[in-house]
Amino acid sequence: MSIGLLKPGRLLVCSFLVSFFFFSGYSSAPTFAAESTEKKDSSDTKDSFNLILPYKDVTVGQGQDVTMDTEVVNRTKNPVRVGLSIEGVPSGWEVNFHSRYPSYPVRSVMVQGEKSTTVEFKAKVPEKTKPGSYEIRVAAKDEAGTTSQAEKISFQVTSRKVETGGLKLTSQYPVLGTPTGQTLKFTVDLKNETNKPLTASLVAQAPTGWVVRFKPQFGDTQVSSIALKENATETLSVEIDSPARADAGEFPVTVRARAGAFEASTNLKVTLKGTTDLKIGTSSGTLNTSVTAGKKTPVPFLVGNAGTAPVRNLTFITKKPEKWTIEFKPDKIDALNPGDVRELSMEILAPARAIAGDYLISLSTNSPDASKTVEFRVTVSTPTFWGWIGALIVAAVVIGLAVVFVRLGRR
Amino acid sequence: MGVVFWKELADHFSSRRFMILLAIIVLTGVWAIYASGQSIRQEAEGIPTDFVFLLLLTSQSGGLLSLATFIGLLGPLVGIMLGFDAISGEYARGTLSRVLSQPIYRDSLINGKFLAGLATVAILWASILLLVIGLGITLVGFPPNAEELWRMLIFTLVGIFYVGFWLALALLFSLLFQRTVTAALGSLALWLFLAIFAPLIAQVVAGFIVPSPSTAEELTRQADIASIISRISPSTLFGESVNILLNPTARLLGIALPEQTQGILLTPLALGQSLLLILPQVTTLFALVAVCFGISYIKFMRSEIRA
Repeated sequence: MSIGLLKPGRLLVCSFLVSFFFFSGYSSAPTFAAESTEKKDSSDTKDSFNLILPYKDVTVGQGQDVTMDTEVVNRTKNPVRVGLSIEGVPSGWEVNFHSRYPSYPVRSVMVQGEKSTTVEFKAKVPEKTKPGSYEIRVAAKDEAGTTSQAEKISFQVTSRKVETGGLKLTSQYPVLGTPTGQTLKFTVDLKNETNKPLTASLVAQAPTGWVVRFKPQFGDTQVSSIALKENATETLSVEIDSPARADAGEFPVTVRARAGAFEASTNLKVTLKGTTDLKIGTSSGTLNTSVTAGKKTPVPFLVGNAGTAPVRNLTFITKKPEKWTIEFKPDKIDALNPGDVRELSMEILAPARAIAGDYLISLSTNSPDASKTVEFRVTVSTPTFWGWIGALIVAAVVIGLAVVFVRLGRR
Repeated sequence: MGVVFWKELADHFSSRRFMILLAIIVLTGVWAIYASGQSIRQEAEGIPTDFVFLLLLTSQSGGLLSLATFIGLLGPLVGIMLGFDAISGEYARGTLSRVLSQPIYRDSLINGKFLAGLATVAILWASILLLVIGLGITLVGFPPNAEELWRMLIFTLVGIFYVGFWLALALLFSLLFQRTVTAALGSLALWLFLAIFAPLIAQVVAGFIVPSPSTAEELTRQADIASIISRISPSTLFGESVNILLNPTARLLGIALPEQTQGILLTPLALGQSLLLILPQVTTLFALVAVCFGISYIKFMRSEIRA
């Protein structure tokens, strides 16, 4: 895939002829041009050196840079010192020769015998430059003064920005959906279409409250910039945290990569679905209640929707011991909108012969939209009716004893 | 009545047979608490148990009966010992008419004797309880909580009723039989029958009514019949009460059907619920004491007393 992508990139360089990164023997068209110059000059053996500027007529946009590799070829067996000068620079422009790695402005180069030195020609076109035709003269002269060479480069400045290749940011799946409050993971490909290594910084534009993180495709480190080799593609994962309370809808997120003058961006879209978050509990927050065996006891409890989507057709299912009955009043909620809280009554009837103690019943809501299960602890106490009977028997016995005492006492 | 009461109390505490019985109870009690305390300390390194002090009373370690069972076994003997010669002994020594010739009412005599016996039992029982608490604190290192204290206090109260029943019974026998030995033997025979043979007979009768149970319902029915029959014995009533009182997780007397235990959690029962469960037993015990003493009272008040 990366080899296939290289082709259109090369075509771009050739067809637009704007910014050129010339490495000898890499790009075929400029090399051919350089060779033809060399042939013409080689017939003229008096020259001690050749200055090879590959492009003479360049179209450039306002505020853009033009760089090209310039070669100085020594035609003698001895080292030659060549002085370089630039004339006719329009006001505001910055035009210079630079050494390559590290890049310093240079005004002369020393070339070994029968070798060549490459310097970079760099022209910075200011934003304010009026569209039109400009000309810059480049002159080269060796120390001995035997050879001097002058070249003209014309610049066609246009108001439109000229595509220079550079960075490209693409996403295979730019639209993803998620429930509110979740984290989404987009995958984006960042491609360096230039012939230079680049370090791209990454920024994202998202609605307030959203968090965007850049991570390598494999790995969990958060990155804010990435180094790209020439013509390389890096896959990044973009993690987006949606806020917990966002409404359902579509949210655009723009991801931007920037390296020097190169910039690329892609638009991602997050489709938020509403969440349903059912809350069940008593108004006091406890999940227990106590009932008397054989007596129907209403237990008020609340059902709330803390999510962002409505819940429809809510019914209740309970898991309970045998012979128990649990009824709900009302036994159905047609619709519970986000933020709504409804009070219901759960009527618990434990059989009269239930053993005293704690029982666990589980209460589940049943709805196509959401479900929730809570466990209720029900403390069953036995009715005190027989307790009173016992107390009556005790009282009767005591009264009987008292009667005996009174009737027979003091003898 | 006060005179009789204090005199009888003094007699009880100075009598040799009481001393012997007290020594047996205290020594065995200390040994039982120590043995169960040791085992609780070892177990407690795993899971901290609730109601450690109740466990001191109920745990069967060291191959001994638990303290509660032991007291339940010896309690009737104490009651019988305190009551069997209350009246018949006076008859035998010929002192009854001499006492009654003093300015003492007749009802004061029997009331005083019975109350003195009850007070002795109460003191005995309370001292065992204090022994348990004291030794327990030394062994486990923390005091009992309120729930434990209440349960132990009610256990003591039920125990006093239980021993009070045997006291009242022995008192009645000592009135019914003029001879002291007959009264003693009669009480002991009844104790043996009620404590040991009544549950066995109940099992046999239940086996006749529901022969060879196969389903859970039949098994439960048989167990229910057996426990209902054996409840004619105060020993069974006392045993059931102690089981519920000292074991807060116990929530049923007899066997539960599987459908009843569905979804139940093994949490300790509240004290009130435990009390509601054993209220019939406690009521019956109390009524038995009152009725036994009432009969003795009527009998004594109506009897002819000659020198």
